[in-house]
Amino acid sequence: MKEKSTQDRIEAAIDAFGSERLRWLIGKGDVLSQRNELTEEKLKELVDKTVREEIDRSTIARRLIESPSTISEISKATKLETDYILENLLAMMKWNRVEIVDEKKREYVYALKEV
Amino acid sequence: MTATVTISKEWIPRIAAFCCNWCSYAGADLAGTSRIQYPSAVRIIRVNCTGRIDPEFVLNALDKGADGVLVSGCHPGDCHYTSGNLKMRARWTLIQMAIEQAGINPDRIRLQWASASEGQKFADGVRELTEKVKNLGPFRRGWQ
Repeated sequence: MKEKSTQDRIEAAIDAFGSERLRWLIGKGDVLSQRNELTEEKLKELVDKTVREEIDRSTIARRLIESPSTISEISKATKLETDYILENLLAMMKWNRVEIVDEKKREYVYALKEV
Repeated sequence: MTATVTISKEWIPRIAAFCCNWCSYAGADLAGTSRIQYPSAVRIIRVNCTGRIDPEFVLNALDKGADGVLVSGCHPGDCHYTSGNLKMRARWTLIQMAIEQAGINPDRIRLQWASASEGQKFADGVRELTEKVKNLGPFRRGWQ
């Protein structure tokens, strides 16, 4: 039987591949590399980082679908570092995917923004 | 007169194989008509071109119960649509990265090139992947 965490990671990866950021890299990565605007190593590094971040952002978003949460709650559920979660939440806020809805024990409560 | 039916209890990995219509699907067909033996638990999904295969397809196949995924297309330079297989090749690194990030052994997926005349090569690819996946063990909740 497959572990639930692995299943969650696969589902998060499936979501991640729907992201515009990753799709852009898939499409343009080779072109940028051919134009010498990015070296092969740099592209590989960038893709690796983006894949990881997008999967983690999907994991965070999936947690927020369950219920609006604080960073500590997200960290407990996803086992990601709090600093890293904050960094990604800020990026998600910039992309209008997340908003602050409340405050609990001197921590902000984040929720997915309804489109 | 009584007939005896023996049902093997040995676990056979389920493989989802995405084959391009112009080369590998014909190759798989040739393997069949040439009576080349290959594991029966492979489920072939015909796509027009490997360039049509979204990374989501591979991840979804694993999520929905496949133990391994095979992507088989035309040799580079032989694509019916000129460069579809090259696009797949560029995407493959990304799929492998995502698979690893999701905590799945990348040996569960395989990309191969097999033309319409390479029935044996197609069968060998299926067999190799099946063997690898067999060693890794099951990875599924059953087909859904």
